[in-house]
Amino acid sequence: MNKTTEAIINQLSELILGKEEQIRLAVVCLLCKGHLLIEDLPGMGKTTLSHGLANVLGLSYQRVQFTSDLLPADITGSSVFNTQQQSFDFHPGPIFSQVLLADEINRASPKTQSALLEAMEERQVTVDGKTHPLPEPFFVIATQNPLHQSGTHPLPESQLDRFFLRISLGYPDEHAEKTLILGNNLQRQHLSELSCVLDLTALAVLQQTVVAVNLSDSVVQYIINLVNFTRYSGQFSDPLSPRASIALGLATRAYALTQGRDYALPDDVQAVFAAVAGHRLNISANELDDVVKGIFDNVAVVL
Amino acid sequence: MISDKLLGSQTLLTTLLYGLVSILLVDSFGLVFTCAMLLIVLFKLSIHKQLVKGPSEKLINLLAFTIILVVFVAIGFSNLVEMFVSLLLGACALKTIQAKTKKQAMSVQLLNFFVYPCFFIFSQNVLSLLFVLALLVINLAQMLWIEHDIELRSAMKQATKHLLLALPLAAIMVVLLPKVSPFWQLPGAKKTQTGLSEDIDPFEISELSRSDELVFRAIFPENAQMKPPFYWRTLIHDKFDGKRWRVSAHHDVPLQAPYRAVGASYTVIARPSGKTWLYNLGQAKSATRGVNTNHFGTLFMQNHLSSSMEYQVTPIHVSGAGMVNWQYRLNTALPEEINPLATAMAMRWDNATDNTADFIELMKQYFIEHRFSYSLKPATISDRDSIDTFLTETREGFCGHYAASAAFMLRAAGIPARLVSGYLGGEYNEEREYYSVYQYDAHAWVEYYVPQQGWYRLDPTAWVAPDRLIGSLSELTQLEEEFKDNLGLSLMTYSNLALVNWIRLQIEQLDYQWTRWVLNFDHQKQSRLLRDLFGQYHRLLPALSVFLLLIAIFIARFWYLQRKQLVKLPEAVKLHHAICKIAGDELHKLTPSQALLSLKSQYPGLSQELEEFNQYFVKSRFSRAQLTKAEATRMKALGRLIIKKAKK
Repeated sequence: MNKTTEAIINQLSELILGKEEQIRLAVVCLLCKGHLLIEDLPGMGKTTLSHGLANVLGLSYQRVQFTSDLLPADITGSSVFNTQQQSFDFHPGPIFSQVLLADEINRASPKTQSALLEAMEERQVTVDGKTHPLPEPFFVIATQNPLHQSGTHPLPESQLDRFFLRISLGYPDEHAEKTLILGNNLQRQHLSELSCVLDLTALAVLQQTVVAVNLSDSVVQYIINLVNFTRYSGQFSDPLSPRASIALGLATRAYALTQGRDYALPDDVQAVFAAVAGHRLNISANELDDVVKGIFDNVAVVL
Repeated sequence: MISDKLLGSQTLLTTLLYGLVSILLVDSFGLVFTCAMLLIVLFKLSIHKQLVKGPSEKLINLLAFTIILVVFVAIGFSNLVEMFVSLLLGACALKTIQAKTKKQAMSVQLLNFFVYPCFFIFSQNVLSLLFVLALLVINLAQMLWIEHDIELRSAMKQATKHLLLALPLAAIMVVLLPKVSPFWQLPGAKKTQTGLSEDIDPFEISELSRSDELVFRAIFPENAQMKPPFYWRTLIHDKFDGKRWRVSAHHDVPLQAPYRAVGASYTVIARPSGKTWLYNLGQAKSATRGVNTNHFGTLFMQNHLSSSMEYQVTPIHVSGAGMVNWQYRLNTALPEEINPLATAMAMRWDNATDNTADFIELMKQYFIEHRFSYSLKPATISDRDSIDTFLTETREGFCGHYAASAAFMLRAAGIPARLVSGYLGGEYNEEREYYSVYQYDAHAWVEYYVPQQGWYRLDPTAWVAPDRLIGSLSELTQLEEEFKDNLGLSLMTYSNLALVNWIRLQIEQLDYQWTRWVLNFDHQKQSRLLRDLFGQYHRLLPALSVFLLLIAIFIARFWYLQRKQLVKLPEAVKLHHAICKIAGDELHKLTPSQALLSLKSQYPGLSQELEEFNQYFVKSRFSRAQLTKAEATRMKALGRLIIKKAKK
């Protein structure tokens, strides 16, 4: 297990320099069959990460640039009348791919946003009363600009919950940036060179293995204490839901798996907590670190 | 979450205990209420066995209403304490039947801490103490049982442990805490089923319901030289209406006549009787507060004797020189035209003699010549001239019959006479040198007045059964069978068996000490004890002890809260905490790997050990795999090693 996930992460780390932790979280999200939200400024490598992930896993990849005039049918596809056969043929949209990059999701109208989010939840698309299942695996990586950027339709809280994790890549460190400037790391070229490290069956096995990771009583209690703190401390207007605690448990397991362990540690909980809870608590990526640190300081680790 | 089955069996146990309590208190509650309680127990039992469905709210309300009716009708408002206690018991029993959730069951258990000690209202001896303690232990165990869902046996163990832990504290509190007299008095909490009453007609009693219940104990000082027979004067019946001998209203009038003290004082420890009268030999005064002497020379209290009480008695002699007219009239008063035979007999004897002593001698001759016999189960005589019937026909009776007949004949002859009821004798405990007087020692005799001299005692029973005057009734071999028949099931019944008698005496001893040192541990005794123990500082002690107690409670609570967290912790976590504690307070809040990092930076020399310890720790706490025995030992050794080295 460790080797496979380690290989994915290593490959992607060569592509996006110095962001190993974020890459690991992206993999965690994939292992948990969740969808990933990347909130960041343009030009930080969001697209590269998603494309790279698709390549490494050998999955089909589509990218949709969300704009304000994008219509639901533009993503889901539409039925076109076939004059020869005198019937409507369904022409699938870009959503029918295994990895879908929904770029700048908050630029699109709420209607389009919800079409995508609905499909994410149900893993199927209904057009003209006909239901079309989405491919397996189906992994949406949505990116959004920070909310203060103009011309955005922020995702409502209820929809944010559909994303399993939210990460932000952030600025690269000095060393990584130097490499980037010197052009020693030509991303686009590298992308096509990425070797596929596992096939679909292996991924499915990996996803099943997540649930087998041991979540000891004390770790579960730690998760409950953390969640309860957001509920009863009075510091949060949108406390964590049971769906969030389930996600926290699952992400903790997947994270432990990427570390090559078949049991979870409180460290794993802390590692995924910001990504799982941040967008659900409605905390912007900037403040996230401080808030999460505050929570950890207040909730003692259960051993 | 507690299962329904467990909740069912635990509430069943509570109901059964209620049933037991109501059976034991059947004397106080009456048969009707006890039967009602037993029906509730049966109902609960059949619910438990799933013979009937659990009651609806309507049914419970109906049952509650019925219970209230039963209590009002069967017990009534004249016995307020019995009424309220039985209402409480009934309410709790119904609540127990109704309890469906853990919370409801718990509230009943909490209520039981008030219900069970109510037993003390009715009985305060050592056996009831043990009984209530046992009930409390079971109650505590049940609470543990509900709360933690542990086995009843280990719950009992824990509960006993808790209670034993609490006992020393209770003992210290008894000794040190300031004694406050009770805020209220229980009005006649105890019905006297046996023994004395203010109003007697011996001829209507077919069988003396005797009990071996203790009435009081008397402790004579060594130099007192008291000699039996001991006549404990308690009630003076000076009003006779032809059938019943009553206590006149003058019973509570304090003594005003001049008197002088005779002989050494002794101590009496009286059991709660719910009455105002006390016990003394002859005429007496008492230095104990609240104890007064009435004009008969017997002791009484203003309040009902609702708890065990110890008082000092000083024998006195009241000058009996004069008798006022109304007193003379009262003590010679007889209704007209009753007992013509007895009256005629008395007149004949009176004419034949010229002093009271001779008259009494003739009376004695009559009883002896006509072969009167002593019996505890005489036939009832309910006709108007009961004394005539007794004197001429049945000629069989107990003390009351003889005393009532003698008093009647004395009055018929114009000699002032009155009936006295009280106790005769007592069982002597050689080891501790005290007398125990039981209800079956109750006795009645006569007092007659000799002008210019005073009142004299006359016990006509002694003519018939002279043995009765020596010691206690229990020692009277002649009446052994009858006596034991009356007593029913009691240790005394089998006192001819050496072992039973030994046990009985041990219990008696224990009870004596209990009464002496716990029940009667009043303010006076407390200050004496404290003075002996602490000298001049004893006055500060109660305040200091309250203060210390509060601090102790605070510390205990703090310690308990701390312990509660630690107590569930496995060995590995304890070790981890211990290591973190040496390195810094906040470390235990970190995850194991964060703590490891911090520890490693603080103790670079111990990196290897820390790393290894952490490995085992993580494995034992978070992985599915268990540590092998060797690994566990290794982990412990590493932990100790790290602590030892880190401390250096």
